[in-house]
Amino acid sequence: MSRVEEKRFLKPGRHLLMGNVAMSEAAIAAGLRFFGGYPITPSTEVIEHLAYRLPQVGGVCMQMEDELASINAVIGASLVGVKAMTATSGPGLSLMAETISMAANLEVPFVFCDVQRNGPGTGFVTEPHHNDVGFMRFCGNGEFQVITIAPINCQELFDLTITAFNYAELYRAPTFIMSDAYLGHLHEIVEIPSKEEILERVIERELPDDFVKKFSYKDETTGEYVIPKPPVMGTDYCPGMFLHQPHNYEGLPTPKPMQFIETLIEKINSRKDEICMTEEYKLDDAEIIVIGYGLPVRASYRAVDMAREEGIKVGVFRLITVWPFPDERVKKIVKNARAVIVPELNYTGMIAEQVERVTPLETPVIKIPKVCEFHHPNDILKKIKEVAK
Amino acid sequence: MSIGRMLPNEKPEHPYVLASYAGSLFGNFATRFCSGCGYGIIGQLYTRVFEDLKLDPKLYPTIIGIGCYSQILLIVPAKSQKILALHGRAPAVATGMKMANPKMKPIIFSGDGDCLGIGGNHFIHLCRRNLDCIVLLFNNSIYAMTGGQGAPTTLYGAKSTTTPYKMFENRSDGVKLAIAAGATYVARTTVAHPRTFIKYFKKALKHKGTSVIEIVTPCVTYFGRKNLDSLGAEYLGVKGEKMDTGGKMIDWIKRNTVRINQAKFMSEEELFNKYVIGEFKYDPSKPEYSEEYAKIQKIAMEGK
Amino acid sequence: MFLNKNRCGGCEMCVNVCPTGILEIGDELNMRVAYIPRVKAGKEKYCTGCRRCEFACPEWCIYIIDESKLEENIEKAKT
Repeated sequence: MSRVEEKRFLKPGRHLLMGNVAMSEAAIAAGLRFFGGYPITPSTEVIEHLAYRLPQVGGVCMQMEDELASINAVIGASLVGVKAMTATSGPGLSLMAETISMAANLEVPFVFCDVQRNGPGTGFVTEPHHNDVGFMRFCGNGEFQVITIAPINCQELFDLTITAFNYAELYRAPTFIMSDAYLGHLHEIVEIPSKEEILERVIERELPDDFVKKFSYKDETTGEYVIPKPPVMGTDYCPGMFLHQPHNYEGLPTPKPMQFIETLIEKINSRKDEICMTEEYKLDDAEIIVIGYGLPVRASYRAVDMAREEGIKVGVFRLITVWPFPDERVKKIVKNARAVIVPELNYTGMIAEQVERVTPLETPVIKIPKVCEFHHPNDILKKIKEVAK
Repeated sequence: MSIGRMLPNEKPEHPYVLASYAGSLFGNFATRFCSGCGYGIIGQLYTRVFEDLKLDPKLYPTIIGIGCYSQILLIVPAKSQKILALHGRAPAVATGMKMANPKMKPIIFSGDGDCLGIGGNHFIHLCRRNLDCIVLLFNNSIYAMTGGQGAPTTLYGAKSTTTPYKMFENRSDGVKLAIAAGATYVARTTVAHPRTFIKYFKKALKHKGTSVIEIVTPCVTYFGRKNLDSLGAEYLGVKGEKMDTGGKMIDWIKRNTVRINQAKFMSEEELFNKYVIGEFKYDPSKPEYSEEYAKIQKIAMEGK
Repeated sequence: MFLNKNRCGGCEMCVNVCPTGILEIGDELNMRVAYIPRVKAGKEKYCTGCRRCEFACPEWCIYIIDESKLEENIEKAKT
């Protein structure tokens, strides 16, 4: 099947790609073979591009009759051993909530791309508005932990999608890629690495050696939460029944539901060092800290450079993974700060509340809310100067 | 985990008990069904066909919806691979499974509220695509799991907890819906005719396309005990008494079923509250979805 | 014809389905506190072995067994 392998990767080099298309190409390179979706602005380009490309590599791209059917079909495909993904926007995420909680119980790996738009309700469909950040954390009934990744440009949309697929295979929790109406339609230059470099990073779906333990469990001797490889229906590595009630590692119902919920949440929280990705910029001697994620970070970099020219000591701490929130790292950074500024593309400040939770009481946390328009570096610079006085 | 009352074993045992899931886990057989429920019968027939034909469990995954029949996963064969889907979404999960692994043939267990109520949309599109799978629709004309509420298929004039005076809505018909949507093998049978069920099921296993088999089962605890014997056939002059045992409900079902060849000569009013049984459609010549998609994959892979 | 007395739920389906009509509900109560069926007096030999009762029982507790294949001698009174 070398023809298929050739078609799986784009030619290495520089390409001009739209955000949605860059994400689709990264997904195909990472091994995506089933996509179930429903057209919704602003994520329609994903399904259009994949409908053209996936049959070329032997995959299946299906346009289902509604969002509920698309996410259920993605779960069905993932159970049979194929990497699967779906892409939608705010209203679609609301509809898919029940199935996401079922997938979290059964520990089925899948990737979900949310190209956010204005809300609540239908909203302005072509305006970006990061209003699903809190919803992604508590998406669906029941308690579970999710992983959310927030890229800021098309190059990151390519690289971090491959990371998202790897996380889904390793940690078996719902994995979200957070993009928005602007980033999805942005055309930028993307550096595509060579075939060997991509293949080194990708984690494929394979059967393990131990066929007894199929779901996550706590190892009594070491206290570690072990996550085995996902079971595949149609082979011998499959539990007797997939029942979405609290179960033990073999899939049979357990009389201790609290232990089950603890495993679902702690298997991610105990691995925050490996999962959480953050980036620091000019933080060594900073007294004022700007914490951000997604698009506003691009304006923050420029604002921080302008402020440093005037002599104000300020730096940027960027969250690449938004959930699980990296408590310990943020606490360490803001311990000696004079003020923390959190620019977000929403009004409530969902991540600002999390930052407030870990900062000391005397340190003010200042929000810069904006809805459907972008932060100009001058807005952030103004707030920095106000605090610096 | 309580499965039900485990009563002491008696020798010799029913020949298919050890093949069922509960039997192989515990050695003894117990159901959680009520004493007159038809699902125990269907479980036995399904296990018989599975074991007699020696079907490969890896190629026939079972997808079960939410309802009273979800407990049937305790009495289907132990080696079959089962998954419980959400209420009404079983056809969508089957679509994903079949397209990702085209060698499989999913078997969907669904109920009347699950398939025609909340899952009506997914059912229609599954039949429209003519995907290769089998849908077994259990029709007991009530929502039994939650305590006996009215369903889209409840007969006219019946009593249920949400229609305590009288049920007056039009009944929805799973067979007509499946034919209109495009399924290629459609049949209906009842629990009182078990050998026809085995015959239809074996035919559906060989057929390439969507097969919909509707089975009319009795629900004694909620539908039988609250409704009279004469429901659906007032003009027959039958004495009205409550149907509180399985035997009386089997009798009632037999009185209210009409075979398809007879029904051609009966008028609309005579067929009003009755069940018409038989094979309604069989068309092996229509193209099947996953085969058509394989052709498209071939065109795409040969291209530039 | 063999009836597993303990599991029977007293639903009377086998009584209704039998084509020769040899079953009836008796007065005996089993562990599930249900009236279980029995063969009408003097009609044992009318059983044709058609298996309709076997296919109609929801608890899988009445079935036809081949007498000659049994190792132990179980009393025929179990029918």
